[in-house]
Amino acid sequence: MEYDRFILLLGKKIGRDISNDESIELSDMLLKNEQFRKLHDQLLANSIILNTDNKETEASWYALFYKMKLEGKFSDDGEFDSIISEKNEAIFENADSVFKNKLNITWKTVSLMTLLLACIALVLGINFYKAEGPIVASDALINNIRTEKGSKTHLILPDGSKVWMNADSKLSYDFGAGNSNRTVFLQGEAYFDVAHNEKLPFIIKTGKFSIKVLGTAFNVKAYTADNIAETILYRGKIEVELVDKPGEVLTLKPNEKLVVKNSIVAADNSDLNNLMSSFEIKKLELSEGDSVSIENIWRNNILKFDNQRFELVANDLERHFDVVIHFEQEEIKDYKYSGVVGKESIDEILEYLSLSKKFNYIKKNDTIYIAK
Amino acid sequence: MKLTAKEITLLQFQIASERCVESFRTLYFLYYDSIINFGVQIIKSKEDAEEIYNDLMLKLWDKEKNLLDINNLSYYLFKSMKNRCLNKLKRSNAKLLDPIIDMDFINESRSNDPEERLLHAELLDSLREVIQLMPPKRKLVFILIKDYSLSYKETATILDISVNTIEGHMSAALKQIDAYLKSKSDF
Repeated sequence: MEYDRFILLLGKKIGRDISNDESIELSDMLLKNEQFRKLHDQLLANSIILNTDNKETEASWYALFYKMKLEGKFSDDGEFDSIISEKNEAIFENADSVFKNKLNITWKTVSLMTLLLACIALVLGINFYKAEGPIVASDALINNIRTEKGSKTHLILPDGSKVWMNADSKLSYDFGAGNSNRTVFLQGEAYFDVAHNEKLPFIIKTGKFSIKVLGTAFNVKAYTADNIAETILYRGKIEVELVDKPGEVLTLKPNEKLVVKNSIVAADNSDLNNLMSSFEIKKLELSEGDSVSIENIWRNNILKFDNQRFELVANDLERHFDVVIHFEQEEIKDYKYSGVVGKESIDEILEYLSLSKKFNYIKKNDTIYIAK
Repeated sequence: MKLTAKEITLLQFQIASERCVESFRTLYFLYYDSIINFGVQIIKSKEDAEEIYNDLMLKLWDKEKNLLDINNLSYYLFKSMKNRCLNKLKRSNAKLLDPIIDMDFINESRSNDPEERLLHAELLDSLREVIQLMPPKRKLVFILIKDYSLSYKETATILDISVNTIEGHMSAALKQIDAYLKSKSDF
């Protein structure tokens, strides 16, 4: 019977044990029969079992963790302090972190917090030099991480949340015990995949807004140099509070983007107190056949801009290529461009932009001058 | 965290090359329930199973770069757990009487993950319901293959049954799921 054959092949596909011919046969069946397709899609998408994060696992884990720590398994240079807390009071933890950059310089961050000894947390700022590729993580409870221009990094926070940081960004976090939440401070751009913990809300603070995370995956772009900040939500739900409109909470649903701009109210540009944030929530258009998955744009080194002011495009280019761009005339900054660039060089990109709205430019080492 | 092959490989890399403790912790939590439950089927004692699990995980850490040589970590963990538990049984002169038939760790309780609730709540709940209804062996085979990404052959080895029998269980499981999901949507 056809149904039996379909079931057999579906099983083989789930078990990743399907031959090419069988795969073609299955695809054919899926095309012709909507019921088959439905079952196939329902099953292939999901992981069934629940991940239980219970106290028992926690206790067993700490038994292993401290044993390994005492045996020196977690430190590269063999030198560490360990403070074993009371049984079951494994809230406070002494952690060492070791970071290596391409120049093989070791930076150590030590943070100490215990119930028994009131210690002051010592935090050293960490520099990631050209951190393309390496995945770095820390079990320190307080940390600062910075990416230089031209480099990105990907890390995992002590609570399991994953963060991808774009160039020229700074992230600080404070997950100290006794906190009622997990707070990070971001200047720059990062993509967050937040680990679920109902008891400890995950909060991100930028210059213009703070975000309380209820869902999991979203992008935040908040460079101080740009006068615009935005966050795009992909999965879940987030609550955003603007810095200069405290108490007002905006909720974003998936595929919504919040853009916060500065509009200058006073005549005097330099008076920052008169800058008010205006904001709008846009629904993202995800066009069919859009081969550039919005979710992965800058993480895949792709830069996409949509009717964007040249000044802001230039800021992104500066950060990505680690160059400096000067505009000879103010009005050029307002030119608008749309496009997608990937592996092109900065020269190719400037050529490409100039085709759509002409400008002249001169490149001298790492500096670019743009004129009409 | 989800148990996809990609996530597992990523964790392996982070543990083996970057010596990342946080990833090691994630891996530990990811497999804890299932491997312990599996072991308890053999040696009957939860404490013993926990001890063996911790030894196993320690050994994983100590492998360092060799950890990357393991292609299917799930299979490795189940197989190692099985062997160690059997050895322990042997040393205490006991024998494994009952075949390994059940995986008790699939929680009856509803998911608290807000992401899951928003996207696939009903479907996941239904899938978990029907899996709970399955006879033990069928349930076990299905979960090992679907969520732990064991191949038919690997599952056969772990459970000491033939690949044909595995195929049979898998087909029965899929048919049961299909019927259940259909019946749920017929309102």
